[in-house]
Order: sequence, then C-alpha cells, then structure tokens
Amino acid sequence: MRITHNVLSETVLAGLNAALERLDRLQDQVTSGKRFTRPSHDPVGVARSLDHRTALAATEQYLRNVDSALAWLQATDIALAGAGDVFQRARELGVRAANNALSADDRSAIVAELDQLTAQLLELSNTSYDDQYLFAGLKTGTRPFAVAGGPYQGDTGQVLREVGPQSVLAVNIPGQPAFSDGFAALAGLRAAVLSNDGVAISSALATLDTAHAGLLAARAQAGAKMNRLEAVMQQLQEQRTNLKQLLSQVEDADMAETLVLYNEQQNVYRAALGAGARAIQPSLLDYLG
Amino acid sequence: MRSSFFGLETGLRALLAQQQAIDLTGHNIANANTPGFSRQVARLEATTPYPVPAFNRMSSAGQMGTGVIAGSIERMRDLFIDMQLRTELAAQGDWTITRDMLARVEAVMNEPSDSGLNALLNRFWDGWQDVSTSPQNLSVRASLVERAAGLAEAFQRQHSQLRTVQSDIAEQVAISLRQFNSLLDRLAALNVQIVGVTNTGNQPNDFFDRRDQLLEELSKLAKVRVTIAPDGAAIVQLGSALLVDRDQVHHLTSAVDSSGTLEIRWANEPGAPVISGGELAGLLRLHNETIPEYLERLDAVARLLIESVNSAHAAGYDLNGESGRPFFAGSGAGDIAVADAIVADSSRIAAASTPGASGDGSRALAIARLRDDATILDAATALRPGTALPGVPGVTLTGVEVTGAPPGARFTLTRTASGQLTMTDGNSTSQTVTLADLPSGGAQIINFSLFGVTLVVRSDTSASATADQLATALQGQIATAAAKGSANSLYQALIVRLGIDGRTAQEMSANQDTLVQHLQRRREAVSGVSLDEEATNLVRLQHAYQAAARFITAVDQMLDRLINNTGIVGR
Repeated sequence: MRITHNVLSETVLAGLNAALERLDRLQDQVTSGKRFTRPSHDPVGVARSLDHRTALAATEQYLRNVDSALAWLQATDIALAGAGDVFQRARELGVRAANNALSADDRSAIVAELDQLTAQLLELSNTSYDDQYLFAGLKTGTRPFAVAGGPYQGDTGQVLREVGPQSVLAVNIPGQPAFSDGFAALAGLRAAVLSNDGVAISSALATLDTAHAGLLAARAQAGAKMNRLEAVMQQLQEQRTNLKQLLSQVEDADMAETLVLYNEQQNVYRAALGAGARAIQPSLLDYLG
Repeated sequence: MRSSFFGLETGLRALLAQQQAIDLTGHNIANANTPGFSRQVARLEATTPYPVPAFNRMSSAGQMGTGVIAGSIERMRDLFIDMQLRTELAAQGDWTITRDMLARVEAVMNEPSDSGLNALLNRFWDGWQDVSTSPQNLSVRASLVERAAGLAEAFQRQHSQLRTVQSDIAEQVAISLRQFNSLLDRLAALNVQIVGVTNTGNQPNDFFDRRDQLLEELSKLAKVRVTIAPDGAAIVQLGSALLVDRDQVHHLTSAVDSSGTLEIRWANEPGAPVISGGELAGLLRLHNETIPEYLERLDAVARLLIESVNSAHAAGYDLNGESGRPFFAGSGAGDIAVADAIVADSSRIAAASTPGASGDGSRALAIARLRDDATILDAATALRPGTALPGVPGVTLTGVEVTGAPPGARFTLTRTASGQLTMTDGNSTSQTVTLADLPSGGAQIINFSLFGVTLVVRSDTSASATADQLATALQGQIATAAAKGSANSLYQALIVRLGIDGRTAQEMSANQDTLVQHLQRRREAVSGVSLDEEATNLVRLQHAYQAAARFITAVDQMLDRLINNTGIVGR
C-alpha cells in the first residue's frame, strides 16, 4: 500500500484520539468511583442498580417502620408496667383493709390512696406517643377514657405497621378489656373498703386479680411483639448490608483495577505521543541538498 | 530528408513537457493538505514518429522519434472507493447524530443518580409509608405532599425536556436541509462548468475533486445515488427521485404536521422522497420514532402512577371522614400534579380505610405497596379513573381500584334494574350492587367484592345524581393489562431501553468511524500526495529538463558550426 504523510499523521491522530477517549472513560470511573454514570455505559448494570436502589429504599423504610413500631411498643410496655404497679399497690391496700380491724380514718386513708391510684390508671390509659393515644384502637386522636370507669371512647381497630414485604404487624393493645376491667375492679374495691364489707373486699380482690392477669397477658403480648421486631430488625439490617454490597458490586468501580488500567492507558497515550512526534517529522526534503 | 532544425523542435518539446510536469508537481505539493484533492499525473507520451508511412517517404533509415508531449493530465482516483465511502459516510452520519442526541436524552433522564425519577419515586412511596405509621400527624402528611409535588415536577420537567430535544431535532433538520439544498445548488453549478470543459476535450480534474467533496458532504446528510453521464455531468438521486440532473435542482424542505410528525418534502412540487440514510434519516427517526417512544413510555409510568394512586386514594377516608378524592391531577407525564385540594389541606390525604379513625393508616399502606405491584388498566378500559360520567354533569369517576383480578381480566358493567349495577366477568359470573343517591359534594364507594373491583364516584359541590343516573352512566368495560407492573419497573424498562439504544448507537458509530477511516486510508493511498514521491519526481524532471536544455545547446552548437564555420574554405 502506498503510504503518504497524511495517512501517517491521520493514523497518529486517530490513535491519539482513541487513547484519549479510553483515558477519559477511565478518568470518569476514577473520579466518580462508579463503573457507569449513564445508562448506555452498561444498560444491564444500570437496570440492576435501579432494582437494588428500590429494594434498598424499601428496606430502609421498613427499618424506620420497625423503629417506630418498637418505640410504640416500648411506650405501651411502660404504660402497662405502670398499670401493673397500680394493681399491685391496690391489691396490698385491699389485703390490708380485709385483714385488720381498721379505724374509719385508716379506711378513708386507704380510699384516698385508691382514688389516687384510679387517677394514675386513668392517666396511664390515656398515654400517648407521637400524639397518638396508644390504647384507643384506631381512634388515636380521641382520649380512650374521658373519666375513670367511663365508657371506652376508642375502637377495636388494629394499628398496623409494615415491617417487610407483605409482613404487617398490629402494634396496639385496645384499652377496652385491659383498662376497663381495672377501673371496674378499683371502683369495686373502693366501695367495699368504704362499706367495710370483708366478703365484698375479697370478691373485689378476685376481680382485681383477673384484671391484673389480663394486663399481664397484654404485656406479654407486647413483649413478644418487641422480640419479634428485634429479630425482624436484625434481618432487615443484614438485608440492608447485603443490598449495599450488591449495589456496590454493580455500581462501584474496582479502584485498584481501574487505577492500574488508567496508568496503563496513560503509558499508551505517552507512547503514542512519542511515536507520533517521530513519525510526522521527516520527509525526503529534509535530506535533499 | 530530415530538416536541420529537427533536433531543436524535439528539444523544445522536451523542455515544454518536463516543465509542464514540474508545474504539475508544484500543484500537487501546493495541494498536499487540501481536503478532497487527488494528486495529478502528467501522462508523457512520445510524439508521432517521422516519417509517417507514405508512398514517397524519405529514404533514410527507420522512423525517427520526434520527442515528447504531455498527452493528458490524469487525476489519480479510485471511483469504487468513492462509491463505498459515500455509502459508509451516510451510515456514519446516521449513527453519529443518533449517538449525540441519545446522549442528550440520557442527560435529561439523569440516571442512575440520587436525584433521578427512580429516587424520587422511592421517596414518594416512603412518604406514604410514613403517613401510614403517623396518619394523624399533619407535618408527615405535608412532607408527603412535598415529595409528591417534587415527583410530579420531575415528570413534567423530563417530559418538557424530551419535547425540547424533539423540537431541537426539527430545528436541526431545517438547518441541515438548508445546507443540503445549498450543496445541490453548488453541484449543479459545477456540473455546468464540468460539461463545458469536457466538451473541449480536457479533463477538469480540480472540478472533479471539488464535486466529489460536495458529494461526500451530501452523503453525510442523506444516502444518495450518483451516476456520471458521458459528458461528465453528475446525476444525483435520492432513492429513485432526482435531486440534481445536470443544472436542474430539486430542493427539499421540512415541516411538522398536525400529528407532530416531522416530514421532509419537495420544496416546489408535491410529494415526499424516502430518506434512507445519513444524518437526516437519523434525525427523522429520532424525531418520529425514538423520542415519541420514550415520551410514551414516560407517559405510561405517569399514567399508571396517577390511575393506581388515585383509585386507591379515592376508596380511602381522610381525617375529616371524606372519601372519593383523587390524589393526583392530570393524565400523563406532561400535566401530572398533586390535586389542588390536597395541596391546600394535607388532612384530605385519605390514609384510612374506615371513616373517622385518625390512627388508621392502612389505606396509606395499601398505596405504599403500589411500589411493588399495581394493576395496569388496558387501553380498552372505557371506565378510567378521572372520567367525567356521561349524562351527569359534575360527577366524576375518581377511582377504579382493581386488587383481586388477574392480568388480562375483563369485566362488563350493565344496569340491570333501576339503580342497580351488575358486574360480569369472562366466565359469566356476576355480582349485583344496589347504588345509593349521590348527594352534592359527596362520594360513593361501589365495591364488587366478588371480583376485587372498587369504583368510586364523587360529585362537585354543585352537582348530585340519583342512584339510577349513576347506574346508567357507569355502564362500560374494565380490562386489566396483560401483565402486572409498577411505576418503578415501567420506568426502569424505559431507562434500560434508553441505555441499549444509546449503547447500540455508540458501537455502531464507532464501527462506522473505523470503516470510514479505513476507506479514507485506502483512498489516500491512491489519491494522496506523497511529498517523498513529489520530491523524487521534482529531481527526476529537473534533470530531464536540464538534459533537454543541454541537448538544445548541442544542436545549437552544431548549427553554429554549420552556419558560421562551414563553407569558408579559402576565405
């Protein structure tokens, strides 16, 4: 083939251009740390990256939901523990009123404390978290008990939290059996102590025990849910780590490899420049006298 | 007998011929870097020998050569390479412009990134999750409205930017056509000059070069067929239609018709030529097929989002116990927006499945789950969410929620009795629901529990409808699309499509670059000016010139001897 100087210089130019283009792509990878920044760099990779990103966003949301559910359940647990203490103290008072021959003053002191306990229970039954009444069912904007022993204002709806794909957990305990029974038992005990009726006191104590047992069952249920949520949280955290790893595998450039390639390419470019400089220069005219 | 001056003539011819060849070498060197220039070579030939055969020819021995003449000046050119190059240049023009434009579309889509539509969609779904955990919290609701508004804006921005790319392409076509037409004019003018020179028996080499150059520029714009007539004129065709016939020119023009299709037509006669390659074909394809497809896919994402979210939202209850409101306004990527009522008051977000339960976030949860799976309504669906009901002004079908139906299911709604609506599926199973009157500003949720289909109608504050009016207006068909999907997956498919298109264009244009480069090297091998060669020629020709001059000197001295120093014996 007949080679002219223009062919040579164009070959040099095309080679330099190609080397620079590869260098540019590698530089893009080095500076962004990503294997691709545009869909056309790797269509399949981009599709997988979008997939992983969506899954990661969902997982992080589930983790936030678990956090919120745990906080709700912890607030529930504290309130139920407080109610347990109330029942415990009421039981002690009831036992004292039943066994000893008490003076009228002593009895009125017990009644006064029972009133305190009732007020405390009322406050506990109206516990709220994040502006939502915990024990009102779905009517979280309404105080479940306006007055002690009054009608339950909430409903029996379940407050749901999604903690995984298709995995929904009810986090609330409706106040209807848990607290209504307690109010009834405290009111019964108070009346029995007032009338100093031993039989009535012991039957009121029995009612109190039933209410307490119901409360403990509810607390156990909340505890079990918290345990389950802890497990779910751990799973979700592992999943998040996995997804981040997958995303990184798909998206992130292998820095060591990329930098080695980058250096190689830089050498290629330098060599092309050097060769080009030598190839373009001379012609016969340089040697003709 | 030969003339005494025979040698002078031979020497003169030699001087003239070598000088002409030297001048040509000078021309070649001068044009060593001129694009499209082909080196020219003087074909030296021996002149007719003397004497010519005749009855009374002279009697000396043999035929004597009479010297040299530059018989013709030839242009070194391989016309086959030219033809191949024109074809490949057309394909190169096509793919290069496609690559460049798709890179612009990629910049518009901005994926993968933390601010692209995919990320905004995820933030939107997360917003619904947050509302589902704190449905009574107005600031959480406000944050959802913000996220939804951001998402809607992004849809609109992408839509309008794609449209801008499209109109830029139409503009580009108009500019390219001006260039195209001007090339045609210059070709026709050159044709006239070439025919003029050819008729005198000479070769207009430099005109040929210029014409080939113009034809190549033309080929980058559109794939043309070139025929050279015997008189040297070029006939340029687009498919089977004539563009340039000697000095006749047929100009092209472009226009966008009412359906938005960009068309390239004849400027001065009816009809439109078929453009099969080159930049213009690439631009036409981008404008009329590629970009509309992206727009349609983007629209499909927005439509699915609007229809599925609105349907689920309409069947839920807001903090005021009201239902039936759409969440999004608009019908596609171009006009999607958060409904005014929701923007004005975020308590109108229907997060609950039951009225009056402020802690109920199950509807918000159902909407959040559309992230993974939503039912796409087929185009055959007559009853689409957002349809104004016929015959009952002010009443809108705000929701068509299909939760239980498999892909491809079809349901027909008929009014079977006054105020009664019956839904029938493909197996002739049916369920009848009795409707209630719709008060003004109210909503009604019509649940066909057997099929998992829920319709929601809502009336303006100034409109109302009786149960039978509703039953009559709601007759129609609901069809679910062949496959289930989600806005995320539809959007992802769009991005993958764009990526593959862009990738193909990059690879094809790189291939074409290589091909064109290869052909250009081959042509350079034939037509290019080699300075080494010209320098050698220069030396060779200069020597010949000097020798010819010396020859004339020799003849001159001979004649001097003959004329001045012969016959002077005894003087």
